[in-house]
Order: sequence, then C-alpha cells, then structure tokens
Amino acid sequence: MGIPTGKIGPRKWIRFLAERLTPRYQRDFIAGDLQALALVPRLYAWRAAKAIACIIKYQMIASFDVWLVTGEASLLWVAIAGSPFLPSIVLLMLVLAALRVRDAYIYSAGGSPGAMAPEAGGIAMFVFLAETALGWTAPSLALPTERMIQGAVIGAVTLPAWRMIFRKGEPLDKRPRELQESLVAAWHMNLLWAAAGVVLSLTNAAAVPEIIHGRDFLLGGLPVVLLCAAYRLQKDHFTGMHPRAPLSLFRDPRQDELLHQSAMLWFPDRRKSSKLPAYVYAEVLYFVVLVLPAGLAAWRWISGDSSAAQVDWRQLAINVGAMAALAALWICIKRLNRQTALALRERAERAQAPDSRGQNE
Amino acid sequence: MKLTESLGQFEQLILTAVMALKDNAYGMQIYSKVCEMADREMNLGSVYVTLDRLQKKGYVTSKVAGGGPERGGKPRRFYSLRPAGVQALTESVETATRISETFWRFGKWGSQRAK
Repeated sequence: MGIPTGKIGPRKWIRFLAERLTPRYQRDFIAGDLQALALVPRLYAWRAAKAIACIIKYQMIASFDVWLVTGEASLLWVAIAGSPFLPSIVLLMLVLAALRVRDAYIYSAGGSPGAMAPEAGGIAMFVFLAETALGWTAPSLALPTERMIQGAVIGAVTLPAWRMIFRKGEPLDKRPRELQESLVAAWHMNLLWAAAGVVLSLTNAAAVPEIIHGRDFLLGGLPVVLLCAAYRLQKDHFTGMHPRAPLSLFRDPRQDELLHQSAMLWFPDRRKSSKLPAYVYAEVLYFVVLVLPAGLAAWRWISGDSSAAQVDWRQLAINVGAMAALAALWICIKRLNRQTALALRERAERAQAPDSRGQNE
Repeated sequence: MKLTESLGQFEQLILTAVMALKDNAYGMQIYSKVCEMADREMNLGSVYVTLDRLQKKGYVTSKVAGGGPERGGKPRRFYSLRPAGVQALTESVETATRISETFWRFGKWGSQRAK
C-alpha cells in the first residue's frame, strides 16, 4: 500500500502549527517525517493531528504521578479556600487537566527555577480565562471575583514551586534515584517528628497548668534546645551547619555533595571514644523533659495536691501514648538516617575511586 | 521456553520493519514499512510511541543523525534491533506459526483446504 502524496506540500503556517503543537520529546523527528511525506495540505493536517494526539496521550500517561497531582490539588484547594464547593471543584478539575497537558509537552524535563515563571503566568492566566468563560456560560459554576483573584495569585506562586521541587533533580539511574528518595524521606520524617515533639510539649503544658511561674516557657523551649544540642554534639562542626567544600577543579562536586548530604543527617560524623556519647544523654534528656509534665501531674495526684483537679487527665493520657509512639518512631528514624548516611558515604567513596574498583573486580 | 515478554501485534510489526530496513530504519521508513505490511494506514504517532516503549524494554536502540533538505534539516532517529528484541521477535513469530498451523489444520477453512 503506497502513501498518497501530492505535488503541493503543506503551507508554512500549517507546518509551523503542527510543529509547535507536537510535544517536545519527539518534535523534530515527527516534524521532519511529516514534511518528508510531502502530503497534500488536508492530508498533512489530518496525519499531523492524529500523530500529535497519540503522542500527547502517551506523554500524559508517562508523566502522570499521583503524588504530584495530589500536591497540586491540595495547594490549589488551599489557594481558593473559602470558595463555594462546586465552583471550587470545577476550577480544580480544569487546572489539573491543564497541568496534565502541560506535563505532556515538557516531560521528561526536570524542574527548574527558569520554568517556574512561565508556569506561574500560565496558571494565573488560565484561572482568569476559565473563570471568565464560566461566568459567561455557567455563572453558577464560577467563583466570586475576589476568590478568583485569590486563587490565581496564590496558585501562581505555590503550584510552580511545588512542581519545580517535585521534579527537580530526578536522577535517571535507579540507584542514585533511590538514594535521593531515601534522603528526602529521612528529612521529611526528621522534620515531622520534631514538629510532633513541639506540639506534644505545648499540649503537655496546657494539660498540666503551671504553679511555678516560667515553667511553661522552660518546658516549651527546652525540648527544642535539647534536640539541637543532641544534633550538634554528634557532629564535628559544632559551630555551624556542615560547611560545603568550595568549588574546585581538583575535587569531584558529586562526591562533595554526597558527603555533605550524609553529614547533614542524624548520624554521628565519627564514632566517639566514650562508651555513651554525649548526644545520647541529650536525647534521653529530651524525652525526660517531654514526660516531665505527666510526672508532675502524677505527683500532684499522689500527694493529694489541690492543683491535681486542674489537670486535663484525658489530654495527658493521650500525650503519654503519643510520647511512647514518638520514642518507638525515634528508633526507626535513627535507623533510616544511619542507613541513608552510610549509603551516601559508600556512593561518595565509589565516585572517588572507580578505577580501583575496576581493578579489584 | 519463552524468555521474553509477549509482543503485541503492533510491536511485532514495528520490530519486523526495523529488522527488514537494517541501516535505513528511521521514523518515516519504519512507518511506511509498517503500513505496507499491515496493508492499511497507520498513525505516525503510534509508531513513535511504540518505538519508545520498545526502547525502554530494551528491544531496540537508537541514534540520532542529521536530516536532509526534504525534511527541512530536521534530524532523524535511526533504530536497530538489540539481541533481546531479536529473541522476542523470534519467539513471537514461532508462536504465530504454531497458531497458523493449528488454524489451517483444524479451522473451518483448514478442513476445506485439506480437501
């Protein structure tokens, strides 16, 4: 079966349009093939439309990530907070669909600050145009003007930032990607765990009213201080954050980055000579301070103190359970930090000496 | 015993076209060959998407080369079969041959043919 051709090729503007509408990843190759087919304009347009639609569909599936979409939906929902429910859902669906089409065009590009500006402008413009169109065609589904402006402005700032962070630095090789995912997971867990400890200390103070002035201030701030002290005591760089090695022609930046990432984790820089390192004392003291209000409340009750009646025993019971969970999680989190730090160090050593590894094999 | 994933019909067409075209296996040529073998018009986009999928599976490899004036200077991507692709295609053809033999032996048209 032959491919029908004609003497007259497609017009320039049709070729240009087809080229711009083709997703980035195969644009030049498809444009060249379509041009080489030398089809009559109508057939060229039809073939190009079918090819482009097929590739957009494939790219949308390839670029889809449920966590990316969940983050986008959450941020947009917060951006239009206070808006009526149905118009919010409609706008959410429209913006998410538009972002999927956008991903189809730019996939498999990684996130970058340079891509944020056009995305921010695009999102704001899309929200404005979509709401304007809805205002004309289906006013009941359109947001109020002030909510639309609020959603456009906040969405234009938060969504591109989320998309940049999400797609930034996705290594293509499996092992580096797994390491980076492990590192991100470790940091998320560290920060969430620390935040949970702060919330716990604040609710402890609320559950057990102070009878000594200034106790709440101490119990609120002391856990944070102890946690920071425990972190710094296990590091060689006591006076500040782990310093990055200056850029140099004689050093491998990948190795420096891996060592820096390893050093920032909750893991001792080197094994200390003492049996029980100082940071362990700080960690234990942290849990002691957390459980102190419960101990004070128990003492008040045992001693028959009248202030025991002011204690919120239900909140205290919940907090004791939460503290036990926090302590159990701490063991898992430290293990994750240790494993990730060791894996990063191992990768840094392999990056430093690939030749010696080859000779040993 | 089968060692590779089963191929879809379109994937078989693509791999066969790449094999038949040898050093000249790039987008448009593969597309023309596939249309010729299938005896109907195909979607150029499907060809690229399937080639991309086959490359991810490790059945084909590709390299980019410059294009001529008939393509407006746009580059071409040449594809070639990898050993895994050859094996997958061979297994697929063997399966199709067994199906064909069974069909002609036991099918409605097969009994008439035997007569």
